[in-house]
Amino acid sequence: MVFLSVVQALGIGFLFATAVSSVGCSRSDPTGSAAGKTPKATKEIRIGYFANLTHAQAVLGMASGEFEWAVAPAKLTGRVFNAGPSLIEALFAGEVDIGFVGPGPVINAHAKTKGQAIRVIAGAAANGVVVVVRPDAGIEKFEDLKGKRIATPQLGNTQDLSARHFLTTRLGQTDLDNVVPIANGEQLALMARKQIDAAWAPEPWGTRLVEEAGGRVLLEEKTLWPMEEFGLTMIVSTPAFLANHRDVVGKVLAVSRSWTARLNADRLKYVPDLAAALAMLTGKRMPEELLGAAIQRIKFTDEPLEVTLQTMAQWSYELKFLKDQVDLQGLIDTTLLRELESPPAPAGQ
Amino acid sequence: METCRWSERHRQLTVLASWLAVVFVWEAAFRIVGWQAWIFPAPSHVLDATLNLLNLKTYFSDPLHAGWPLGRASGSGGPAPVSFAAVLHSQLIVAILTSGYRLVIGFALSMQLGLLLGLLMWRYSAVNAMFGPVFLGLQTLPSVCWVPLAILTLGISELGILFVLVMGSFFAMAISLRDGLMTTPPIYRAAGLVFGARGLNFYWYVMLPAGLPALANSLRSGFSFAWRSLMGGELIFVLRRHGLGQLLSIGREFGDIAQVVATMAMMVVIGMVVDRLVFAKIESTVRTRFGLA
Repeated sequence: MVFLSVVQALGIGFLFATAVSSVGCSRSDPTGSAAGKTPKATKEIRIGYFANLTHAQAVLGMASGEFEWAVAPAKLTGRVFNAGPSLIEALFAGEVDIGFVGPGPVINAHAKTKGQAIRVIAGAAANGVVVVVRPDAGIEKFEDLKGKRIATPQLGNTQDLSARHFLTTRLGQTDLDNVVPIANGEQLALMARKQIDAAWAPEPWGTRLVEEAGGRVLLEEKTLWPMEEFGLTMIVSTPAFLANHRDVVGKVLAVSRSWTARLNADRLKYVPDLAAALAMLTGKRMPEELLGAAIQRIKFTDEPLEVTLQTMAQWSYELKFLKDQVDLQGLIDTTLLRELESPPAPAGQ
Repeated sequence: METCRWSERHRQLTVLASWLAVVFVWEAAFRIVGWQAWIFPAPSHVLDATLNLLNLKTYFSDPLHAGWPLGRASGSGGPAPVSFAAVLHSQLIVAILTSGYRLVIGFALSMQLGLLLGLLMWRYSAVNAMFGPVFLGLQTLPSVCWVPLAILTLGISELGILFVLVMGSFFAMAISLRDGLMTTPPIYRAAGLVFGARGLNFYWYVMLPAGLPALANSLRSGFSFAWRSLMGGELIFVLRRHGLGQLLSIGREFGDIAQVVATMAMMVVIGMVVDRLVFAKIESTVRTRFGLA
């Protein structure tokens, strides 16, 4: 048998390392440091979002075809996720270009990549999260939640972060084993089977738990926040995509802004469209009165509420989701949003 | 003989040196060429992640500086105090113990079921006709496919994960034992019957010793199926006590690819160690005893 000499081993190691670096580098450089090259015509844009009422602008924008129309001639693909961490993973992998996601995963992404892979360009929604309890779980007020089994959509997502923070600070829990991450769709079956006592859910999942699993709304999360307001949905992208395809991002943002305006003017008018779109995405059609009630809990805004991000960054560190304190410098880039709000004067004036 | 031992040692050292060279070049490639660390980690990140999971804060991945690897590059704070109790209660140790506990219980269950059914399938052709093809098919089902069923019927509990483990491994053990018994020389069976062994005596004094190589092989392959099933199940099953699979899942949700790779490495190491120290030993002892080695 021929045994490898160290030289041959180094040779193999070098080949292996070349293979590994080519895999790592083959992904488009997200730092945008190649901004010097001319932006090439984009062939395909991928938008990520959730089948939630709190992502109404994304759901309506996709369903109405306005996103598709705006980015033409580029092709548009929508990708639906259960919650933030999955969307962030897809963003890292280059499978999503623009995403609608909550602040919790955004902070985590910013910290893990040392600020190189994500930018918040605008907001989309605030509030819109409820704590739903099982009627026979004996939970009458917030304090009763201590030690009860509480479901959140995914480990590390915004509701998970909020639930853990409030349980630790307000109820003095040290052991958070009772917070269980379960996908939104599965929470319904588990609450009906009495496997979970409560759920920290975004709309319309909160309302669905009431309607289908016999739950009861205990409180809205906004009542736990100092100003009764917290950012829930933000629009994110990667620095590279922003640098290379700023015009496309601008168009997508413009559609989102127009939907924010329309929803703020008369949101009940769009409930049937939302019901139809969500039914197509989740396979279950919700009654429009319930959706109408749920949508009143949400505040639609284009502002990325920076205070929420800073607060949740602090919470993440305290809950040991982050190893070290994170500096949010450079995370928010609202230049595009400001440009759209007050368009520059046309040339020649 | 002294010369044999030295050349064996020499071979082991060469293999070790080769693998260390691979790791070294991988790390050097990251430091020199560089790629996005959150997509694919470098060995120093994986080492940091492993030690962090043991509650030891290290910074191997920082650029070389005065306090490397115990302090940050920025020099803020020296090495953190290390307490043995903290390491014992760290996420990784707890996860290994949790997974180990589930494995022992689940494998014991799976072993009893699998060996019993394997024996029955070998002995009674009716049982074989009924279960054989079905087991062969079910054996190929990845263990994670059982998780949704387990959650809905048994709830989010330890019983559920045990169910997944047993379902993922006992079919393979049953089939492996049946096939192993079929290939034992029929002379043993004939001789035993001629000498008047019947009933339980027959199985205890004739078939069990005759089938020991098959049994040892079955156990070994059953263990690797069980370990894989457990890890696969833990990836999806979210339980109060975190096993290694859940640690990997946590790493993934938080975008910590270094933790993901560190847990993968741990799974491989544990699987290899247990296989080498326990099952391979049993198998080689049996085979030597039977003159098959």
